[in-house]
Amino acid sequence: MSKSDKVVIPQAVADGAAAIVADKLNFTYNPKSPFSKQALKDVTLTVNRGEFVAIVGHTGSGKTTFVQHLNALIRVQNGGLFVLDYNLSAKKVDLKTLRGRVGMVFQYPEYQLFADTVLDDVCFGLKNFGVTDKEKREQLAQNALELVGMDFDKVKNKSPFDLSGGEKRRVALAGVLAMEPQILVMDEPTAGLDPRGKREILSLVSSINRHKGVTVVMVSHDMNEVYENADRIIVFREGEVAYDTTPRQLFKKEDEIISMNLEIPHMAKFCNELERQGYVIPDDCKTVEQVFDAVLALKGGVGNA
Amino acid sequence: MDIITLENVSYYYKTYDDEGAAAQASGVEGINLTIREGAFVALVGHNGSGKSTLAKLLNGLLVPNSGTVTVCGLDTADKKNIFEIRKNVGMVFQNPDNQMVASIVEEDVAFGPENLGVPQPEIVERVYSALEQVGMTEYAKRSPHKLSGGQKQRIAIAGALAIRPKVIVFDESTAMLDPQGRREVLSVARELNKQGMTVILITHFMEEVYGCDEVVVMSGGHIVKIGKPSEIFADERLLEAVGLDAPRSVALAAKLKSVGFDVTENCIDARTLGVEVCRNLTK
Repeated sequence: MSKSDKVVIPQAVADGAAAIVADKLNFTYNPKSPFSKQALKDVTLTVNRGEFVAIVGHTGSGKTTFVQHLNALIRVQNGGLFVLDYNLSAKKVDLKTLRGRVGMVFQYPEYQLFADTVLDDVCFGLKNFGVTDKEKREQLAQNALELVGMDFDKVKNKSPFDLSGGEKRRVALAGVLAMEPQILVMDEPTAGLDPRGKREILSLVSSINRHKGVTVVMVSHDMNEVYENADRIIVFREGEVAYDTTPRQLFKKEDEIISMNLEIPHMAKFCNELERQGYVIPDDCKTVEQVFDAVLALKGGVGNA
Repeated sequence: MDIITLENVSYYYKTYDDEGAAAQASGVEGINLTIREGAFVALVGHNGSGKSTLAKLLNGLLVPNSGTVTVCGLDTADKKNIFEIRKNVGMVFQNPDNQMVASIVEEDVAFGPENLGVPQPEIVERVYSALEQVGMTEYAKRSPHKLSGGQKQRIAIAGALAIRPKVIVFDESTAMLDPQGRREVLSVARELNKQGMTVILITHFMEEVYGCDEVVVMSGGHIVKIGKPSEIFADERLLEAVGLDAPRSVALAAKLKSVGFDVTENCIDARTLGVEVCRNLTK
């Protein structure tokens, strides 16, 4: 579909059920040059509003290229892409409002902190997106910092550079959340953090997803965290969508996953083995605690029989 | 034989409060540690626990405020020793992009021995044997900037190896890599250790700790426990207190064992654990 063709709005977009609809999205870096490289091939997928979707794949599989399309950092070359009610294949897109509604958290976002104080840093985005009233800005910044679990009065006048790694990342996240986006796109939000930092960020993102209804798209290399947190996993392989399914279903295909150089989450591997031997494990059983309870239930069942 | 000894070592970073008055923030405090030649030691702890500070004390990048660090019998506080110490202790840091100094891989690896004044023919020999050790010989003439993260880290390791150190310290060298890059770096580390190199691996991925001789757990600038990986994994309270996680299968095995399942403790392979649990269920 070229840009001039008549646009058919997908039903799911018109209904307001879908947050993101990609239809045969293609992208080539350095097209028509000897260095041209096709990064996305006919990517077709839908993310529903309120969903927590993880995007995984080997380095170079096109994950980052795809998510950079979602707030038009990369413009659509070929194919259809709707995000909320924006048609990103159109020639003109209202980028300013789009980027306020689709919050993007890059890899190592703490490297992008720059202001003298935490408060200024969080307010920077708001200022750019047209929140002209200073008091309103500070109120939104306070809400966002409290949402990420920071003590507002304690940190607001601190330099962001005096914070620990995990705190810096939360401040960077607050800068995006302050704009109250409807979609939160994150590229490896837990990379480089220690286990506690990882847990904090993930539980924060899960709670924003569940309680505020924010749609989450998270790129990650950590299969264990993806397994436990995402409603659905989309696997990219050489620029194509290779799988699009629930965590439990996906990791039952152990050989295929390994052949794509991805890891099997521990709890998936464990449950797969039990299922191979004929035991039934409930589908929502993903964390260590859930699996432990399921095994106890099986033990009880065996004992009663 | 002990290759590195730390005796009652403290190091404080200088910080300034809002008014600009100097305050002392601790890096590490009261560290006592000996590292045997040929050992594979993991140093774990949350962000800010002092593990990187400790790493920098091992080759004189930092000199202790009090206490002594002895490397191959040399005191790091004595400036005369610093060259000799750095020849013996190589370091590989976290960010692969920050460690490249040349535009061709072989030149990058040659940087260390060149600075030490090694004669030209020997440099060539050292560079190629270092590249071979990390499995990157075929990339010798390439540009390091076009390599993957794991490959760049292997070049950084080769750069350290070309100095022919006795000890190599990996300061969170896997933290920024994807799973494949991590596997590459770890397998090089294990291979070097097999060949007799003393390896100190700083990490917060507890899975990487598996198979080490000894794990040193740090928190708040102190060493809180030293033990075998199995002892550390088994200490759930300690891991919780210092903000680390046992690998999930190890955690599950511990929980199952606590309610009477007959399973191997510290089972890192979830499938093996699955097999064992099935055996328990059919009993």
